[in-house]
Amino acid sequence: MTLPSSTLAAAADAVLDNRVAARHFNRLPLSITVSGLFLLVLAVVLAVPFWITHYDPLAGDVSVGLQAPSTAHWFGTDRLGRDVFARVVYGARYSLLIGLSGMLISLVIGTLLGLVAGMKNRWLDEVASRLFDVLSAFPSVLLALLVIALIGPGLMNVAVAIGIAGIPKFGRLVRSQTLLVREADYVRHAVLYGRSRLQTFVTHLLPNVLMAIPIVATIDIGSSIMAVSGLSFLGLGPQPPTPEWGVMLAEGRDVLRVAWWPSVFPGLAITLTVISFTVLGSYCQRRFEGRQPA
Amino acid sequence: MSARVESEPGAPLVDVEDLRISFADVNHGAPLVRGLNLRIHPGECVALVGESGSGKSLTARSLLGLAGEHAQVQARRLQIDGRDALRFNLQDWRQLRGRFAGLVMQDALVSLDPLRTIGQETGEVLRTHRMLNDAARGQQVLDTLRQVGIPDPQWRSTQFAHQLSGGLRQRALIAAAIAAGPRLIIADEPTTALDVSVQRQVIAVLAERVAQGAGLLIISHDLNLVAQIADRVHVMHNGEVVDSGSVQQVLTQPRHAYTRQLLAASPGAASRGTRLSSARVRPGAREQDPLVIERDPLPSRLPAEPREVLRVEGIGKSYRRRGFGRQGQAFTALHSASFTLNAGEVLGIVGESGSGKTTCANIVLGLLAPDSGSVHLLGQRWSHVPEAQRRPLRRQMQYIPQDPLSSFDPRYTVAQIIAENLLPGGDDRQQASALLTQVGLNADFLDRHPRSLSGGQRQRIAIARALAAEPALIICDEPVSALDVYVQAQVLDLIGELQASRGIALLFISHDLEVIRHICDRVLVFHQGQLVEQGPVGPLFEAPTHPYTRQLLSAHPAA
Repeated sequence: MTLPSSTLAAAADAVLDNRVAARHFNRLPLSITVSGLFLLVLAVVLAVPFWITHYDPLAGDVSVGLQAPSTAHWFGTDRLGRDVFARVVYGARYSLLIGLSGMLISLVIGTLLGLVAGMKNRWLDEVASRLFDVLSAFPSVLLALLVIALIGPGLMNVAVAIGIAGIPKFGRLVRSQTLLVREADYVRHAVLYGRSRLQTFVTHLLPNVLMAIPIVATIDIGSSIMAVSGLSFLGLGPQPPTPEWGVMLAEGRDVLRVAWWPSVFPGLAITLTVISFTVLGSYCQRRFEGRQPA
Repeated sequence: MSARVESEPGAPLVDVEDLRISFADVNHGAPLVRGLNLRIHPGECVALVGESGSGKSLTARSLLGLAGEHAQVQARRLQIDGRDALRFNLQDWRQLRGRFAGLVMQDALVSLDPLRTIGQETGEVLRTHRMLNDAARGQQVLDTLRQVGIPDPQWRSTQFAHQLSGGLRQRALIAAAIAAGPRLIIADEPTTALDVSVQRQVIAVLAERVAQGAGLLIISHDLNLVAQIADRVHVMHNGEVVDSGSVQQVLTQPRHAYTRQLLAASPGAASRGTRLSSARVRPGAREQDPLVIERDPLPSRLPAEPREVLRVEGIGKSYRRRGFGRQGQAFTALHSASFTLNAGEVLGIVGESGSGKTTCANIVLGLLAPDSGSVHLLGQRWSHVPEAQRRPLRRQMQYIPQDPLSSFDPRYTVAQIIAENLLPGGDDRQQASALLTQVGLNADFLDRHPRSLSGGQRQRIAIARALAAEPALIICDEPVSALDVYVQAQVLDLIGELQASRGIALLFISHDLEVIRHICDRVLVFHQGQLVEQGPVGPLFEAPTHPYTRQLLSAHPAA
């Protein structure tokens, strides 16, 4: 009696699963499709910028400076006659890579501290949690400024500065997730199935804690890129003539009154990138929410 | 039925004919409730009985205009308080809710606002409908709290939901529903989460309202409970009423196969050693005769051996209380309890929440170290030894939880869950699929995730995982209390069958005395941390010696 009915139920469920999946794919919101495509293009730009443009982002001819966008120069030229399109394309490398490194630094340190805080040791929890409090007491850009003041400006230093400022975001997430998962039945009862503490940690606790990270990380790349551009704009990141988007914005500001294109296009690049990451990240968050009972 | 209605005095509070409820995006737009007729008169209790998903809650909610934002409610007639509810707008519904009809929900803890006191919650409906002035309202709140049997209402009304016990909380919820003196009370599984003795109190409060002339619509999956209070019963199955009539009629002359199955699948003393899921009901030879239930026997059990699997001697556990002014006061969760369990024996543990049965189980499982006493498993020391020393014996003691889903790693498939408990070296998938067959599932389930399975299927997976270790003892912690009657019957059959054929000892924790009667050989009764009585199920339930056991048995619906 049980067997056939359960088989039937399984078959019905499988059909249903497929249909739900198909319907879901068809209903992918336009904003997600656009953001995804934009990031895909960005990835290509990042990997092989020389396929996109044959201009050198650094070489320019002052005699053709500040030309408006045309078929020869899609985004026009800047004050030194450099092709703005080429600079935006090559600039993706700097902005994205620094942003990504910054995010990774916060992720790794934040996760480690969060795990330590989420363990049962009250003293360690106090130390880690107060560290998060102190770090997040400053606005993140201000904190990054402070770090740069200590270690000096530069390409990688910006990443480190932003990375440190972002630690509490991951640290708190991982800590709360650890506290939650630690009390879940499948972790508390793992001992009944002969698991040692270390085994339980590695096979059950850690993976379920880390599941929460990718979504937050995706959203965080956006704000990280934003911070990178901001610091570069202030001249604390990579120095001219590096074609970093923030640096380009700063350079374009000087000629804004006569030419809009040297600043608008890098600004647009920053805006679209940040929006894409945020939109995609929030979508994933909604989509996978509730899919991971802790 | 219509003849009966004619003879009823007073106009019906609710008069529904051919009710259909559907959602465009659920079940492909097919109705979740269809062809339902329902009439509730003042002073009458009508029950909707059925398993989860049968549409009983949806029906009840539609009477308050709460079926859902996108619900399409159609009916030939939907009259509430003599008015056509199909034409109601939001304003009309609001006027109705609380004043004419009060809703009592199942889970008092989530239904009561944690930031407001019981008094505020109870007075809410009066304030919303602008009934009474402030002073009179306060008095009405206290009166209502007293009516539902809350002692010292003056003090209780200033407390918050989390400060009350489950029974008081449920009564506070009823108070909030009846504060405005509604003529219709809708109670959606009002006692499901409660212990038997508290259940009785709550039912008594509701019965009192009915006696005073309110109409009551009670929703439950428990026929026995409904029998205590309801005048008429509608049995729902897949969105349709399949059987209806007076309680007596439905219980003794069920017309529909589903009702018969429901009656036959109920466990109890008479069903010991038999299968519940295949039990059949035959009507008696004459109309007045009681129903005859035919049952198939379970496989005969392995001959009992007097081999001790578990020996528990004088275990106790106390905690230090936390909170203002109570530091240092010890709270004793369990006073020295002793019992033994032999191979192939089924030992039940009964008690209400807070009685110490969970503490006892956790000590036996080795999750909790006892303050005093000792536990021996298979003759070896089990308590007061480091976990590493227990680990080789772990496979001998397995566990079936109440909520299997939370005991599964959410990332794991069924195959991974079972494989976790298999000895390394074998073909995991093959062994797992063999185990699935034994628990009535099949290899198709290997790659599925438990969250896509039903409650019964999840419990089967938990059983398969326990069996994977080939244990001598399985601790079952309320393994069927979250399941519908028929699914419960299937799972009980499975446990009984496996127990009989393998001679596994079971420690079976349950608050349901009928389940204990059905499956257990001996039983332990816990009360306020004390093991108050133990002995063979039959004699102990026939002639309880301890006052608490007597109270427990008298509180039980079927008794």
